[in-house]
Amino acid sequence: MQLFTPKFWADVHGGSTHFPIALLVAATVFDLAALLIRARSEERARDLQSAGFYTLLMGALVSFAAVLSGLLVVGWETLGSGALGLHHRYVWPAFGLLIAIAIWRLLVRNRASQPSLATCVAVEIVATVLMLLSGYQGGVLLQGGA
Amino acid sequence: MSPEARTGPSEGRAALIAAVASLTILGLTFGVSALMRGAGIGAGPTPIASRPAEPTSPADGPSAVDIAAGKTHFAEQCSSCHGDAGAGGYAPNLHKSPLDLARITAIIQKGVPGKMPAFASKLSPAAVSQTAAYVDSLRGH
Repeated sequence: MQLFTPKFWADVHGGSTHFPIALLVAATVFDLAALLIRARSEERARDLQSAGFYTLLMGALVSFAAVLSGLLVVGWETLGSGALGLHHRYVWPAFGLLIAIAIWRLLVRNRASQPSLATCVAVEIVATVLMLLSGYQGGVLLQGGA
Repeated sequence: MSPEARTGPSEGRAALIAAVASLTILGLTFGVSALMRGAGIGAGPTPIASRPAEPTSPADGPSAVDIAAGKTHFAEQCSSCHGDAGAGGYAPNLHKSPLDLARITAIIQKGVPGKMPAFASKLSPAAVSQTAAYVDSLRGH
């Protein structure tokens, strides 16, 4: 009996894929809140920004597990058609943006200017929407869409 | 060392590095996936022409033992997409399949481009036949 069957990877994908989705959404909320309250409390904004940074970093790291397990479920198919194709159409830009934002934040840390952080949050929002659409298509696949 | 004390690239340079790194990771993901598919590693497709020919439909038909063995292979290899009893999941409901045994066998071996990976590299020829026999037994149920 094989351990690393497609069913095993599907279970791993199901378990791991929710982490980057949830962590990206949380990071976006933290960073957006930091931007909005900065005028009232610089200290709280810094704390929220810090929370957003570490949440984003964790989301980016765990996204590799989600991507790898997903590829193993579908036999390394990176595009595909139907619901799988749509799932991939959203997941790759979302994954790329998530990695790019995480690396940028890691490089600039607390030296980022307000306009740059605002741009970063805008990109995070785009990545979040794409990630949620990808998750929705994953749900369609689970319900039997092809 | 406090975060404030860190030095590093400017914002613009950091954005460029991040973009290049992200695109590189995406490129590597696609490249490695294409290589794995081509090499038939994992559930990727394997050129069926390079494999020995095998009977897809024995004259006496599959036995109950074959179907039972096929059920085990199905649970390990197929149920993650087609559902535990082939009732559908990521992939279509097999109970409503219009395909015959030979066609089912061919699809398990070669896959369906863009939709289903080939299993010729994951299952032995006998296991492919047993799995096909099990899937065939589901039709109409």
